[in-house]
Amino acid sequence: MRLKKELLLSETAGEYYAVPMAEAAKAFTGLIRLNKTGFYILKKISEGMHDDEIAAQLVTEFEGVDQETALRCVRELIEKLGKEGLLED
Amino acid sequence: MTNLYHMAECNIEITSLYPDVHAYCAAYRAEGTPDFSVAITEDDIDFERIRSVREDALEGRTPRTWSDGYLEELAVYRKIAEMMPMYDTILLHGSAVAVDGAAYLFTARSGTGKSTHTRLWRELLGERALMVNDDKPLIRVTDTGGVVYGTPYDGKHHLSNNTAVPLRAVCVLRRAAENGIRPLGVREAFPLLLQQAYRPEGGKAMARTMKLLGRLLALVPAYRLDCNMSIEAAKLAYEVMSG
Repeated sequence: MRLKKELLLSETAGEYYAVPMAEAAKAFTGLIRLNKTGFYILKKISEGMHDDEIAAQLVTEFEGVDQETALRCVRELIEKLGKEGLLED
Repeated sequence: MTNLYHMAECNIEITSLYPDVHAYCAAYRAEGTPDFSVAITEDDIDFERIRSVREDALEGRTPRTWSDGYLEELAVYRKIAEMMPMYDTILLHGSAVAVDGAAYLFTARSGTGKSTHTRLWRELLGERALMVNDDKPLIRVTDTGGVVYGTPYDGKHHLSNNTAVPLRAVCVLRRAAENGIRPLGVREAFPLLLQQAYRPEGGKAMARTMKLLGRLLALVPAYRLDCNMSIEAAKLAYEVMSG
């Protein structure tokens, strides 16, 4: 599972966005606004990291998050991205 | 056929297969050295034709037939818009009107009534109101704000002037029974404006577009106007945004 390359991750004016480009824009024409955690997760996915690795990093980077919750969050986001056609195998 | 044109502070060399685009851009002819060049191929024209058919299908219209010369005009502006972010300039879909040397840009989805609204400004303000561009102005983001430029790509009524006017405010239009206007924060305004900005195919140009739009919104106030297409809507918008 990987994030489509055509998803542009951008931090602009204090907000976090993912913008579908090229082929990805055909599947999803809108603009995705993310919170800081969502943006962080997307970045890690785009770097090719697996869900459990990302969860482990979330636990160290963000205070008060346990591995189980982090993993659930990561998987939920991945599922959403998949539904929008923004992931590739 | 190759000629040089000056738009939004850039010298642009246009090489075309058909003469139409040169007639279309005639008011912007220039002499000098190009900052960049655009050249059109048959593939670019086919791309515009396919796009037009797809848009007609999305809108539920019978596909319209366009001449290659016309489609080439579109292809040229697409290539220009693709380059412009590298010159701190973006294309925003909207109608820009200038009053007393300050420009106001109205943006919204097609069919909302941007052109109708700026027509009301001209009715309200007479000769004080000058159309910068009624459809696809270029906006240069500077250290202190934005500058709106007239371009030949000015909508179906061909309302524009080859001019440059500092941007006083941007305004997202929405049809409503009652008129009302309120300021928009950057968080609200950014996605609304990005939807109406030209989104380059190139990742670098797209990333720059987002940065430029973010910078623009940090410097220029944005508003949301609910309007019912009466002259009172124009009066309200002008009073609030010029104030």
